[in-house]
Parts: sequence; structure tokens; C-alpha cells
Amino acid sequence: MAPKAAPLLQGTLDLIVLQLLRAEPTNGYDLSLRIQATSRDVLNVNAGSLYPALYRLESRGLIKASWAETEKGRRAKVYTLTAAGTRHLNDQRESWERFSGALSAILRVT
Amino acid sequence: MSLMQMMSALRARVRAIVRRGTVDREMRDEMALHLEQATERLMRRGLNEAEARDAARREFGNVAVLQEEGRDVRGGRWIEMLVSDVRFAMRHFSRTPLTAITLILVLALGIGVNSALFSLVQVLTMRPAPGVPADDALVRIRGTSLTRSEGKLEGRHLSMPEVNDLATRRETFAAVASYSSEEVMLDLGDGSDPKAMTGHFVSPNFFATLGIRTPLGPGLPAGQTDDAPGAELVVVIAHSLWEQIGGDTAIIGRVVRVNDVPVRIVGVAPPAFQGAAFDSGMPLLFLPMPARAAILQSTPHALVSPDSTFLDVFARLAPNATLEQGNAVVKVVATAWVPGKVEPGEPAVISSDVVPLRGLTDVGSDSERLAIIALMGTGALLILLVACTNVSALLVGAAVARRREIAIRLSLGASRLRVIRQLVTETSLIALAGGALGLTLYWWITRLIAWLYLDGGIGPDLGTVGFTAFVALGTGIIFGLSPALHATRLDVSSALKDAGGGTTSRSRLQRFFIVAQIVLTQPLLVAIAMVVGIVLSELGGRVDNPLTTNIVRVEFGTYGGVGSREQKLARIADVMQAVSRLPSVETVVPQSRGFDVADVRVHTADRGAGPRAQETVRAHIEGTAPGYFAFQDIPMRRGRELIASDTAGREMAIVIDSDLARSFWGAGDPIGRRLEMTSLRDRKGTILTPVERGRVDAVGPRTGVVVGVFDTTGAPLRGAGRIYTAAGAQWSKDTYLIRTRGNGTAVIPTIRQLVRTTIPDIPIYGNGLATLEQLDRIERRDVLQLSAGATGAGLLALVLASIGLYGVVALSVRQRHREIGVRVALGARPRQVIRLFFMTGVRLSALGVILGLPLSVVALNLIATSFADVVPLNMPLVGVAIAVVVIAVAALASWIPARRAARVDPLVAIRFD
Repeated sequence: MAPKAAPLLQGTLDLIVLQLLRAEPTNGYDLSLRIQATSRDVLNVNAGSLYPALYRLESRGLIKASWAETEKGRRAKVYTLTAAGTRHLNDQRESWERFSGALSAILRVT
Repeated sequence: MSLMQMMSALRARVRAIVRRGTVDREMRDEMALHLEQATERLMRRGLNEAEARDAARREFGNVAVLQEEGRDVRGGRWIEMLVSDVRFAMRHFSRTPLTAITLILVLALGIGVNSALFSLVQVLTMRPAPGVPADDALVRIRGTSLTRSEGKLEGRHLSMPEVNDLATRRETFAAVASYSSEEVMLDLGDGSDPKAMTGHFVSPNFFATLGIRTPLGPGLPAGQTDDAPGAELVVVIAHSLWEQIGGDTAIIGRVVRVNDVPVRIVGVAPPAFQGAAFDSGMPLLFLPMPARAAILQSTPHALVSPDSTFLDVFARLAPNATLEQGNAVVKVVATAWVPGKVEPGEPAVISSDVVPLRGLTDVGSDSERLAIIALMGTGALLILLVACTNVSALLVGAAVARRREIAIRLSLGASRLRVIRQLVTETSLIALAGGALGLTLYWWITRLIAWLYLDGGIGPDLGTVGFTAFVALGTGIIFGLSPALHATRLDVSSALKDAGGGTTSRSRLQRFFIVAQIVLTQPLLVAIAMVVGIVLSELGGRVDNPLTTNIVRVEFGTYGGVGSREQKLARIADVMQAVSRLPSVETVVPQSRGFDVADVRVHTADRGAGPRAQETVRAHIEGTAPGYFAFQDIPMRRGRELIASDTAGREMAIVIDSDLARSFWGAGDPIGRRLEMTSLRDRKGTILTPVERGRVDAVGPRTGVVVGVFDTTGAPLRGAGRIYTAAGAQWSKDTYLIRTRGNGTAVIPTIRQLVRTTIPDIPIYGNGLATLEQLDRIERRDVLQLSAGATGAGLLALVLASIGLYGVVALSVRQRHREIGVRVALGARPRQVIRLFFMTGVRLSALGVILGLPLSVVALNLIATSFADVVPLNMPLVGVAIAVVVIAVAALASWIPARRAARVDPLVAIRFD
């Protein structure tokens, strides 16, 4: 039995994807595993949300895709963060930190 | 979004559309890899391959749905859908081409005619004259003259002192310009014939006030020119004239002759410019005002006398002045300059007013313009209404027929929006096609109007193109939307079960419009048939112009030229005298011109034994020169022909045709008997209706004494009821007939040479020097073209109305599909089914015809009064014939869909219950 996955906050998936892609270019499947691993199995992003998010980000020019060979010699689509994506991530991260800081403060008060 | 970001987003989007196949494949590959990797991982955890694959799939979700979402996210999706919508629409049209073509044609007609009327109204009311900048400060100052008894406002020209006075009102008018419009002869001096044309003698500030510069040449001098005798005269020519004579820039500086006076060309006016106002007579020459005296040989005194009124005036308002202030000022000025010369007739109230220099600005055109606008507005509205009704009838019919198809698509999961989009795309496509075709039609109509009435003053313009496109798209969306909403509103199961539907209020409205169309079509057809019939019968029974090749006709213009009209007529008579002495010419007579129509009866004391002795007969009275019958080679059966002394006798001597003589007096001798002739016209020549004949200014009966009877058998003058008289100056003094020895065309060059050298300032009008045979051919061609146009318009109306009727009947057949099935299943015969629907159509058209009858009668009366002189057709018969034609066509239009009803297979129709 897998640990119970927390519901994903609206709009945070884009942030997660961008953050993970900043570390290194990754393909879709590895990305889903990495989200699961990095969040210590709290977040479980299924393909149904991940791929539309990737395409959305690609069409907004925040990430770009290229084809590369996997270790096993298979063609895999690898996503890379663009310069615009980096800028967007920084902006979003800042506002997220401000938001979560404020939220934690409120939660501590009551 | 930065530029880079935009670029890369754009690239992704374009890639998504252009390389859809590749993108799809990549998406598939990517997801397949994901599944594969997930499967491998699960297998590493100990599941076998089949279990692992299943688990991976479950976890991943529906690949197809994901791919669909992926496409949505990528954007450009709407273009894909549009492409597929358009493809689907095309396939649909190719299955029902007749409906599609009909729809496109109806829309094209509606849009084309409507836009043409729209731009015509615009030209007549809102546009400045061609080539004149749209400037609110430009106004026309119009002199007016009101006669109390008639209450009719007429235009008057202003005198130079009045114009000068206006020009001093600086606080109201920044500039006041004037021109006088005259007819002059232009001789280019290159061996071609001199041509008659309108010339404007303009004030020095004419072009500057309008804000126009001559694009070629220095133009007219801006200050007061030196009007001392011997000073060189100059002229600016219209752009169209410049093009006509070669369009060479070297023309500047060339000397031409205007009314035989040498004038130097100093400029070419801007393209399309035809004078300051729309209705200023299409001038081709612009000459400085002082040149008027030399060219018209008038006295320079005319430019200073308040009694010489010949100027049209326009002005530029001072920066803060209003139209109202202008009006007040010109009224004051007008009262100060009432001409001292007393005009014959009752005194008139002299005043002036100011109107914007746009559209038709003549005083006389005020009410005319209103009438035109009202007429065209109504016409445009009606046409749009007709087009809309027919289009909506056809579209609703088509949508009802597709209800089942729509229901199937809905049940297969298409969203309602998607289906509506499909339908709207279809109608928009039709609307676009109709709009494009309508635009072509519009272009032709404006050309036609320009050619017929406005001489190039109207042309297709961008604004109207936009308007048309807007109307076309709007029509498509609105008409596409309403049946689409209607068709998709039903829930799927009931639509699949029951393809029928009750008669809605919409179809009642449609019926109303159909009846209205037929009501309007019928009088239109009647009127057109009458006019065409009259014109054709006129041609067939030509009165005065036997088809001869050895009679040459020439008509002179006496408006321009040098000297008074009497002097000019005398000079023309002299030339004609000289022509008659040419060896190749037999005789020359003035042509009888214009005729009167009269009710004629025998004087009570002179009644004979003819079959119509007691009756009143309608006849033509022709003013004729003495010697006319000999000239035309028409034999006299009794008595003598008209002689010189008949022109001024105490009694009016008349020569009548032998048929008329027989019907009044039988075999008796008509010579010396009297006829009473009551004209149908008043003193101004207007034809009076029977009611109006008692009016004060109606001409009372005149008595004529028969002096001769000419033989109608074998004579070129056909038709009974022809009365000829030489009394009074009823024949023309500017139009002559020349009888030549042998073919007239051989003599024409000699006559032309003689005329041109003797009277170079008097123009030859109309179709110039030509034999009667040539003239007849020209006239016949013109008349045929005109009749063809009129007939086309009438047929168009009929076709439109039938299309509407067809749509309505077809719709009701479709709506009652199931009912028909039940009827047929219960034993109704095909003929009974056909009759059911056929009668609906026929009832509607019969109602239209009956309601249209009063209108037809009005139309007939209108034509009867304006063509009182020729009543060759049996009018009630024409009316009945047209009604029969209308009903026949309407019957055909309803029979075609009704027949379809009979072919309904009851099994198919009821099966879905």
C-alpha cells in the first residue's frame, strides 16, 4: 500500500516541474518518479496531469524539448528549462515563499 | 512575455499546427516510452510482464484522452477544428448543391442590390462631389425664389454684386467663390470636329476655396486677371478630357480654340473632379470669369450689373461660423440685391439659404432627394427583408431535415457547442460566398448606375465593401445560429424518435413575408410589362421616321455659342438654306418635333356617317412644316397638303389620316369639316389625368379645319389618329431633315464641312448628322437594352418570391414528414398528399395576387397617365396575364417540394416511433 498522496495544490505542478528541470534535463517518466521521490512519496503526480502540464509549459516557451537516447538506447523526449523558464521560476518561487511564509505564520497564530 | 518567449511559444504553436502528424507521433512515442519504463520498473519489483503492463496502464490513464488534452493544451486547436468544419461543410454542400447554390444566389442578390442602393443614397446625400475634399466648412449658397400661388421653391442664380457683397461678410464666410456654367465649343485644332461641352467660368479663388490644386500645370491665376482686351485667355481642363485627348503632359501651354477664341491650356484638374457641386453639369473646361465676355461675346457689364444673375455660389465658413449664422447672413444679403428687372408672371419672394456642399444641392432636388432616399431606403429594406426571409426559410428547412443527423452526432458525444459551430461555419461559408458574389453584382450595378445617371460620380468604395462584408458575415452568423440553436435544443432521444414538429410562429411569419413578396412582385411585373410593351410598340409603329437611308437628320444645340437664341436660330436657318442648295441635296425641312395628344370629336354641325361619328377619339397632333408630305413622299388622297399660309391662318388648317377620316365621315368628303381637339396636356406640357383636365391651366378645345387627307395605305406613317398642322411655331427650328439624292451617308461629310465652317460655335447634338435609318438602329438598340434590363429586374423579383415560396413549402413538407407517412399508411393516395401541400403554396400566392391587385391598379394608372399618348396595350389583359404568370410560377415552386411529399415511404417515416 502506497502512502496516501496529498492532493496537489492548484498551480503548484508547474512550479514543481520547473524546479526539477532546473537541476537537470529530464524525460517525462523520470520526472514523475523524481517528483514522487523528492517529495518523499507525499506527492504522486499521475501522467494525466503531468503531460498536459509539460505541453502547456512548452507551448508557453518556458521549457523546450529535444530527443535524446536513454542509457538503453531508446529515443526519449528530454525537457530542458529555457531562460524564460528560469526567470519565471525565480518569480514564482519568490511569490510562493512569501505566500507560504505568510500562511505558516497564520497557521502558527491560531 | 519577452520577445524570446513569444518567439518560442509561437514556434511551438506553429509546429503544433503545421506538423500535426509529427507532433502526434512524438506524443505517442513519448507516452509509449513512459508506459514501457513504468512496466519495467514494476517488473523489477517482482510483477510478471502482463501484470506490470496492466498496472502501468491503469496508473497512466487513457492514452487517447491524454493525447487529445495534449493537443488542446498546445493551442492551434481551433484552426484544426475550423479546417475539419469547413471540410465537413463542403462535403455537405456537395450532397445538397441546389440548396447551397440557391442560398448563395439569394444572399448575393440581397447583398449586391442592397449595397448598391446604400452607396447611391450615400452619394446623393452625404458625399461631396467627386474630387472635392470632404470638408464640413464647405457650403453652398443657394438663391431661392418662391412663387406664392404655387408654393414652389425654385433655384435662382446670383448676380456678381450680390456675390461680392457676400464676400465682404468676413465674420461668416472665410471665402466666397462663384462660377457660371455655360455651353461652349472646344476646337482642339488637330483636325478633329469641335465638340460641345460645359465650361465653368470661375472666380479666381475657385480652386483654392475647395482646397484643390491642379496636379499638372500652374493652374488659373489666383488674383484678378488682367481683363484688358488683348490679354491672353487661359483654361484648366478636366482630367477626363485630358485622358481623352492623349494624356500627354506636353499639353500644358498648348493653344486651343473655345468658341473660336484662342485659349492657352495652363492646367489639368485632379482626377474625377467635375466641378464644385454634384449637379453642376459635368464641366470639362474651367476658365477665368473675365474670359466670359470674350468667349460668349457678352458684355463685360454683366459682371457688375445686379440684373445679370448667372452665378452659382459656394463658400468656406469662417472658423467659428455655423450654418445657421450663414443662413441668416445670406437672407439679409439676398433682400438687398433683388433684381430690378421685373420678370413676367407673378412676383416671387427672393431669398437665399446655405446648405453643406454635399450630395445633391439643387433647390429643386430637396424634395426629390427626400423622395429618392425614401424610395431607395424602402427598396433596400424590402430587398434585405426578402433575402432574409428566403434565406431563413431555406436554412430552417435544411436544419430540420438534418435534425436526425445532429441528434446522432450529439448522442455520439459531440458537444452542443461543437455542433452549433459546425452549422455556423456552414452558413458563414455560404454567407461569404454570397457576399463575394454580391460584391461582384454590386460592382456591376454601380457601374450601370454611373453609366445611366451619374456619369462616373459613383463607384465602388472601401466603406461599402466593408459594409457588405459585415452584412454578409452577420447574416451568416445570425441565420446560422438560430436554426442551429433550434436544432440542438432538443434532447437526443426525442429527436431520434420524432423528426416532426409543430408549425412554429416562425413559419407563420415566413408565410406573411412570402405573401408580401408576391404582393409587391405583381405590380412591379405589371409596370415593367407595360413599359416594355409601350416602348416596343412605339418602335414598331414609328410615326415620323420611315426607315430611309436618304433622309439625314441634324439637331443643333442653341444653349452655347455666340449671340441670342434668335440670332443663332437665324444663322442655323441660313446654313440650312445653303445646304439645300448643295447639288446632292433635294430639300430641307424643319423636323416636326414633339406632338400633342388630344381627345378629338367632330364639331356637332359637321357630323358625317362614319362608324365613330359620335365618339371621342384619341389622336396625335403633330406640328409640321409646310411641304412636309411632299418631302416624305406621302400622297394626299383628298385636298391639299400644308402650305406656308397655313402657319398663320385664322383657322387652324389640319391634315388627317385616311383611317381617321373614314371613321368620322365614312365615304363622305371631310374637306372643310371641323374637329374639336382637347389637349391632354396643360400649358407646360405636363400630361393631365382625367380628373385634372378641368384645371384652370388646362388647354381648352381648339377647332381645326380639315384641308387634306393623306393616304395611310402603303404610307410610312402608320396608325390611325394622326393630325398634322402647320399652325403656330410647333415645329422645331433647331432640328432639320435633309432629303438627299442617293444614300445620305455619302452626303454627310459635305454637309458637316459646310456647317462647321459657317457656324463653328454651334454644336451638333445627339447622335450628330445621321440618316434616319442609322438613328433608328441606334434607338432600337438602346431601347432593347433598356427593356432587357427592366425585364431582368422583374424576373428577378419573381424568382426571389418563388424561392421563398419553395422554401416555405419544402419546410412544411419536412416538418410534417411523419404525418405524411401516417396518411399514406392509412391509405392516402400520392395525389392527395401532393394536393395538400400544393394547395398551401397556391393559396399563399393567390392571396398575394389578390392583395397586390390594388397596387397593380395604381401602377397601371401611373403608367397610363405618363404614357397617355400611346395606349396600345389592353391593360386589364396585361394585368390578368401577369397574375396568371405569377400564380403559375408560384404553383411550380410549391409543386416541386409537394411532389417530394408524395414520395415519402410510410415505413421509413413511421419506423422511429
